[in-house]
Amino acid sequence: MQELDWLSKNRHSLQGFAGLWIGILGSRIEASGQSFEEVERDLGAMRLSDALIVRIPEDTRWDYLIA
Amino acid sequence: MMAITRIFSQSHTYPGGRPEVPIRIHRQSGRPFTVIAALDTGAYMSVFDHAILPTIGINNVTTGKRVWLTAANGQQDQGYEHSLKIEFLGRPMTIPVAFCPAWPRGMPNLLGNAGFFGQLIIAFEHGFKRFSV
Repeated sequence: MQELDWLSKNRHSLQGFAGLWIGILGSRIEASGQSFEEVERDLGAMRLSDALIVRIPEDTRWDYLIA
Repeated sequence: MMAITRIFSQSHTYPGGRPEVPIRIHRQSGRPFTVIAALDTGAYMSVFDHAILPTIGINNVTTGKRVWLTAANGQQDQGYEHSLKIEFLGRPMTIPVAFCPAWPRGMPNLLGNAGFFGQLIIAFEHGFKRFSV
C-alpha cells in the first residue's frame, strides 16, 4: 500500500507525466513510458516486478466518478 | 434483533476517495505485475483496462466470452470475459474479468461482484476509509 499512499499524496505534482504510464516502487518513480507494456518491460529488466504500474491521466481532476 | 458477528483477518485503509488496492496479476509465463484496482461493490462484474492484455498473453480479446457492459452513463458496449489469476492482499484468486476494447486505455480497473466479491466476506467503513476482509 506504500505506493498507493505515495500516489495519493503526490498525484497533483505528476502533471509532467500526464498521458504516460509510470512504475512506482516505494516512493520513487522507477520507469515511465507511452505504454503499459513498455513500463512493465523496463521494470522487469530492472527486476522491479513489485512496482505498481499506473497511468497518469491527462485530465488531472482525478476524483472523477466512474459509477 | 439478532446480533451478527464476523471476524476479519485483515483491515486496510485507503488513501483516496474510493477504495483502491494494489493487486498482482499473474500471467501464463513470466513475472506477475502490480496494478491498482477499485473495489466497486456496484459493479456486476470486474472490468479491467484492456491495455494489460498483451502483457498477460491475450492477443485477441474476442476469444473471450462475449458480454454487454453498461457504463455509469448508461452507454452499452461489448466486452469479452477472460479468466485471470490475481493476488488480492496475499490471497490467490481466479476471477472472471471483462475487457472492453471500446473503453479508453488507462481506465480504472474495477473489481466487481461476480466472481470476486462472491469469494469474499468484506466490510467497508467508508467514514474511516477502511475495509476489512
